[in-house]
Amino acid sequence: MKFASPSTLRKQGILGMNARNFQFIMASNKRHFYPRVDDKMQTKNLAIEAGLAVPELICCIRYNHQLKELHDVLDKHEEFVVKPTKGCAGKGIIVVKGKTEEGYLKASGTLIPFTEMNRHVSSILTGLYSLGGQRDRAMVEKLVHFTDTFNNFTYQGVPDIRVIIYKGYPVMAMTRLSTAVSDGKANLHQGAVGVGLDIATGKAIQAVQFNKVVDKHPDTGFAFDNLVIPDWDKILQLSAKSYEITELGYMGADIVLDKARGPLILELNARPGLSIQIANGCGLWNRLSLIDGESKAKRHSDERVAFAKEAFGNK
Amino acid sequence: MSAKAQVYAWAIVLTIIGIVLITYKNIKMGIPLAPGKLQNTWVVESIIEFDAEGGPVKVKMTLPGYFSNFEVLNKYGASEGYGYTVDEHGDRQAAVWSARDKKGPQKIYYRFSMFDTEKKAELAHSVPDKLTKPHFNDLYVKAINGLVEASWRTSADAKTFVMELVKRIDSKQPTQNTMLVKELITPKYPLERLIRDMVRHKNIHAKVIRGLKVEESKRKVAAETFLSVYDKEKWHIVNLNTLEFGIPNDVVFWGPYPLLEVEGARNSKISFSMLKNKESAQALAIRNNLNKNSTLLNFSIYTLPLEHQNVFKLLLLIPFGCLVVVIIRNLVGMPTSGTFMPVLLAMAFIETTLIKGLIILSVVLLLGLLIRFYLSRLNLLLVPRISAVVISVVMLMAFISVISFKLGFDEGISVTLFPMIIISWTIERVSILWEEQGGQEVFSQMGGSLAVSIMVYFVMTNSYVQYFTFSFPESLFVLLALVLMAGTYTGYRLTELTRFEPLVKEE
Repeated sequence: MKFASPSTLRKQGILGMNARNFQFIMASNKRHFYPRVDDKMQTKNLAIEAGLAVPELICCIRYNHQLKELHDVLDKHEEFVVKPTKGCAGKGIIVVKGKTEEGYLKASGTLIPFTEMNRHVSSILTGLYSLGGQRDRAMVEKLVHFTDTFNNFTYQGVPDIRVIIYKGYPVMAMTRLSTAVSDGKANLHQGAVGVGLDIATGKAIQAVQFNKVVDKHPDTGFAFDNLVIPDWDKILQLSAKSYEITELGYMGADIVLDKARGPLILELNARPGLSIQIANGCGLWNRLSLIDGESKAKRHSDERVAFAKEAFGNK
Repeated sequence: MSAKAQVYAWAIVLTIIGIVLITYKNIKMGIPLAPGKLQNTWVVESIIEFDAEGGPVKVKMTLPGYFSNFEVLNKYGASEGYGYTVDEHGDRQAAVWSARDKKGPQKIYYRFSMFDTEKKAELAHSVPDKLTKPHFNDLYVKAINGLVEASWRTSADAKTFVMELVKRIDSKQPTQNTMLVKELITPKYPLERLIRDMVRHKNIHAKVIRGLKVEESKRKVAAETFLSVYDKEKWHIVNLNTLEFGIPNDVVFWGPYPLLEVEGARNSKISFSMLKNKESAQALAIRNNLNKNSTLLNFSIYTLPLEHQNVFKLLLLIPFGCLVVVIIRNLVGMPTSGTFMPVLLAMAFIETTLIKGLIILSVVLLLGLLIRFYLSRLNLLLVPRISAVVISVVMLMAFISVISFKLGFDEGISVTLFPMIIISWTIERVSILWEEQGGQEVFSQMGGSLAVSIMVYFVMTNSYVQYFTFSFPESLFVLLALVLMAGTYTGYRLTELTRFEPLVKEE
């Protein structure tokens, strides 16, 4: 285990957890705006109002008695996703890709009997997956059909693109690709590959697994040099505009790419993690300070994107 | 003032308050900073026995504390059926019991505790009052004169004079004078008084005082008699039995007053039983200052009943546990499942001892998980499901307690102090974690939490920490200041130094 000296880390502009919380999250995220991102239903409504693309909602369940109607509604849909509106870290999400006489079929092919689905939804309602165990709602969304971009770069799982947005400026981006080691999960500490993305172009900068740079995906063998995210400008636009709906100074946007609809905001996060620095091989601090100097003047999202591309693009 | 400046200001104010109070208690009240050595304390019980004659009874006992190495801590003299007052007259303190109508043998107890100050006792060298020359019966005056003059001639000062007198009276071959003088000794006029009067006869001040030699676990001993003689502008103490001069270390003295005065009763006598204890200097200092009515202590937890104090002993440790959690999470960066679960678990471990606590916890968690896995197949709603887990956990605890009791481990019983609701929630979350992230994640997260609990346990059971928090609850001010300061720490966490190490580029 190697230790870096704090002064070296500071010199290289690497942001630590305490500084992130104190200087950025606490300073620029107002408490009363948190529900806008902590409650995915609110995020979705705000995004739709502002004309930002999000996965389509099938229904939202608030009370246990609505469970009876759930299966009637779901009867019309083959594929959908059930998730808690206040869940965190992807807990409590069920992806359904088919149906049989007894129940629903998960993406992995496992059967979820109808009763099991009822139990799951009522667990969501009681707040099992929500922060602090508060009462929650369950929302059912249409399944996103992912683009083929990632087909060669992931082992199972659903890659999304994480963009850090500071005061409306997209400052850093990455995508997390699951591996056999990570068991299909997209958590970097479990062995998923983090790929840093060039803010200017959406091209892969470098890929990191277990804190070490890798050239190709450990399972598929494809080199990350060829990975370019399509619709990159749209992704940046979407991220930049999400600042207007949440008014949170420091946040992360999780964006997925739908085959037909293009980039969609999956969810927004008021406390995005710091491993994006590892994936990018670059600290966040200097970029954030740069924005602090720049953001005095109020700018349109297009200008902010242009500024970010110019300032943070890989040269 | 900015938020950060306020934090610093508070931290400074709190630290100063804490340190000033700690220093005050340390210096002024003598509460030591470290547990240190134990001091001897004594519990002395005086037993007054007499036969009441059937009328009103009044018993007066002079209280100790005239001068000695010892400082009296607690006194307790209430006796059933007697009115009890403490009578103060000059430097004489006396306990007085009275009753209107008593008959037959009676017993009154007076208990006091004292501790060895380990300071050499000093006599108050007060100038004696005018000497009243004793008056002897004409029959004996000549003999007394002879004895006194003989002793005077063979002595150099007051000390040796007393020794000569005692020697002559105790002599195996007494002279005629001595024989005659000894006839004076009666129960009402004992030897010590005779010697005192003979000393006074030579115009030297003298008084009889009583002293009790404290010895380990003595029962029913009598007070010893000492003579105090004034010579060269100083009072000197001599033990009439051993003829040793000087103030003994192990004797507590009464003043020159009758030890016991009884009205309305016969055959009164007083005896003493005593018990030696070891007590920490801190406990003594606290008790001693409580007796002296220190305001700081009179509104402190030490005035609470003992059982409540014991609760506080444990409660006062929680802030230290929190400090450890703050350090681990914000300075080290180790994740724990549930912010303060480690503190709660550590408190449970304090009750059960560490190893047994860990075993019990693992057993309960394991069985609880099995039950939870089965419950999850019954499609229950969340709150009833967790309640079912709580009930099962309680039953498991009862079961473990009974089994371990039957096997002969008493500790099984203290299991019940485990924070059961917390454990049930842990079971619920662990089982979800297991379903979603796999067993490995469960072990790494639970392992982390347990490691932190064990760390918290060691801090909370550290004898110095335990001593310090209870002796100086003011340390909480300093602790609060530390936690506030930690709340503004924006530097890197220890784990981040390795986590971000790969990012460091050579220049």
